Amino acid sequence: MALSTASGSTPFRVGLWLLIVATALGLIDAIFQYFWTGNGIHGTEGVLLVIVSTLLQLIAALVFLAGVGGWVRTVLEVLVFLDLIGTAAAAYLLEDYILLGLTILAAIGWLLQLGGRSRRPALQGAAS
Amino acid sequence: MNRLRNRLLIAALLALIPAAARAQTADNGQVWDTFNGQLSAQKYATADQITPDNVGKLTKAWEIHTGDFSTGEDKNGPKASDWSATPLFVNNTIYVSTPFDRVFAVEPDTGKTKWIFDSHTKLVDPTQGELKTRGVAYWANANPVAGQACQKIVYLGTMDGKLYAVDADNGQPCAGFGKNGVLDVNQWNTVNAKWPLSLLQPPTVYKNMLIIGWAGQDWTQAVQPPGSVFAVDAQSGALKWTFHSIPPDMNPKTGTANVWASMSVDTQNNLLFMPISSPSPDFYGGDRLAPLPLVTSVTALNPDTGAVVWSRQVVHHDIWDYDPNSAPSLVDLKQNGKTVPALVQSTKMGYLFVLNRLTGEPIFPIEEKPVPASDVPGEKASPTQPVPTLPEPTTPDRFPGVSTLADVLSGGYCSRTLAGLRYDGRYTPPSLKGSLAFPATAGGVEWGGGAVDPTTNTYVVNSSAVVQIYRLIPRDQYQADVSKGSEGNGGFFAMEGAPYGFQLQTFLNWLGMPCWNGPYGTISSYDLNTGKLNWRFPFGEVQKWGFYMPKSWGSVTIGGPVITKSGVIFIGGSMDSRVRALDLKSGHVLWQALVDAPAVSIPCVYTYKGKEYVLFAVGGNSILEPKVSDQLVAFALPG
Repeated sequence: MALSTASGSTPFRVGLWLLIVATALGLIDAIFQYFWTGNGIHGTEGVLLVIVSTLLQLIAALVFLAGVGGWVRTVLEVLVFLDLIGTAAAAYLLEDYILLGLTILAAIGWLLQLGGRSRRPALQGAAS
Repeated sequence: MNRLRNRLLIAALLALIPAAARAQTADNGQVWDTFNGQLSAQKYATADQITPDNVGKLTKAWEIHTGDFSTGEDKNGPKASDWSATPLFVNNTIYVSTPFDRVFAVEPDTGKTKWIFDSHTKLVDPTQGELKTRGVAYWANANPVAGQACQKIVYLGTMDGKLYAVDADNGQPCAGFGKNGVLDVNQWNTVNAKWPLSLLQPPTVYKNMLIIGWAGQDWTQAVQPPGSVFAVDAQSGALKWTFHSIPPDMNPKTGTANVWASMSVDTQNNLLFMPISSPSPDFYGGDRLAPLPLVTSVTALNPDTGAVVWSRQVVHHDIWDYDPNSAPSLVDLKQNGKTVPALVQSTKMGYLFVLNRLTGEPIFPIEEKPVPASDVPGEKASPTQPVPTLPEPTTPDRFPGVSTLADVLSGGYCSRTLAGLRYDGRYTPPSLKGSLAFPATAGGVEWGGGAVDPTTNTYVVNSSAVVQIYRLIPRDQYQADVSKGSEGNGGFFAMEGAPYGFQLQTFLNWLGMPCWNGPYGTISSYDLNTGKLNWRFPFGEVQKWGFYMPKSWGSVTIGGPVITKSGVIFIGGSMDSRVRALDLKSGHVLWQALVDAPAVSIPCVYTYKGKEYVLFAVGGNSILEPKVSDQLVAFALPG
């Protein structure tokens, strides 16, 4: 497992922070929806599921921030992608459109950091 | 001469005052003083402040929680509650009963409690398996005596057969009614009296009379109390007449065929219309093969005497529990330049029987169609059943097919189960191997019935499409099967005294998903003049684990709609705990709001101090969801 710095290209940093912030807000929204009784979905298994999925997503994003690399990073990228798809689908079926919007933002962040990451070595090479 | 003329003029003016006052009430205040809004069961509000254009702005005006609900989870506590009461608005007050047999009188604009009457009924349900109420009834003396109590009375029926009368102004018992304000209707339960006559449906109030039906059990035993309807004096409770639905010589063999749903009245032609339910036992008729012409019918009575004017059976020899379960809605049809006095009887089968309400003759032809024979020893199903040619039924004619998703997710359980069942179309009789019933006893149309816009003769009705499995079990095997339990949400009905017990099972897979294709509930609009369908859409949404299923699936639906003069339909009744407003012309949803549980009641639309309100009793129903509430919530336009 190789560790690399989280500081990289602008798209990478913007994307990663967008992923972290949107996911964190999604987690807060999911927790709020679980406990707020006026939404039709409070206390349901479906909301518990998105609490877990956004929490896992956030942990993965923080691991990215810590700069983990190598195969672990690749596996996590795939898992985050699946998590994003699943969370978006769940948010749609829960009719939690705030979470859906935040998940779409998180997905944009994930794509940005993924693209930034793939360009990062070249940028670093050009700078040296 | 002039003095005489002036006196006559003054007398004439004085005589006009009550009429003017009445007119003022009618113009300025939309009242909702019966279970169905009006005795005609049209569920039509003349209020027109809330329109299709502004209904999207509706906000919660007030809400209260009565505290009277039970999930039934506490084994030592009361059973689950089922609050299906239509709140009444009359006498400038909202009146509603609760499943704990209390009456709340509240301010129409604030929800502030005026008074509460507690019948102190023991919360032990003797007949239904749930604590139920469908509301209260209201009577006002046409010639009130000044200074005397109980010139306006609210009536509460209880699960143990008591009818309470309280003063509408203060909730105090009316001592002159029955015995100290309580009439024991159960005193007339003298034949096959195996349980008390549960008074869940409020009485029908007409001509200073209360016309009382009752609920019981038609699935536990073969021989039960025979169907009866009582008319009593509104002030004293004295019995005026009794109607019997079952010939006395059949009493040792059957029972029920009671009127557990609401009734309607043609005040112009002095006719009372009753939906008479099926006889006991529900699913085996081999011991009651003799003609029972009044059961499973819509029947018209002379309300002064209780004599039958006409009766039309909607199911012959009912062995499916296809109770006619809602008051027929009265409507004056326009056909070939003539006005035809008619009624619409909705049914669990999804058929709409449109009849001349003076004669019972069909407006659109009704055909006697051959139906499958029974293969159960001792049973003899009717060879034909009446099928209206118009309007088209609210449910499809054939089983809508196995849901691929439900089948795959259950490893083929749905298709495997279907392959082992008997299904020969509508009216496939219950069988020993199990028969697929579609539509089933859950409907079709349930007790909420439909609503009529009398200005256009548009009829709107919500309807479910539920598939169930009907299996008769030989008596000697019954106990063994019961002790084995049932798959999914099965239920066993003993039908003691019959050669068979019965198992009823909704056709679900292990995930609780319906094994059949949706939609599971629809709302339809018909032009009653022609019998043609205007529009039909899936209605409501199904929710599982919080996830909303596709809108095209719709929702099983209980509770009726209301139509307003401005062209808005208000309805609760879906599994997703939402109340909705729809455009009468297009059927499109214009507004929806989340409430605490499925609102399985008929909404109350009223106008108070110049403002229109829509009021829902939100109680839930275990048929839809194990979710109950005690919320009474009113919506109005802001400002």
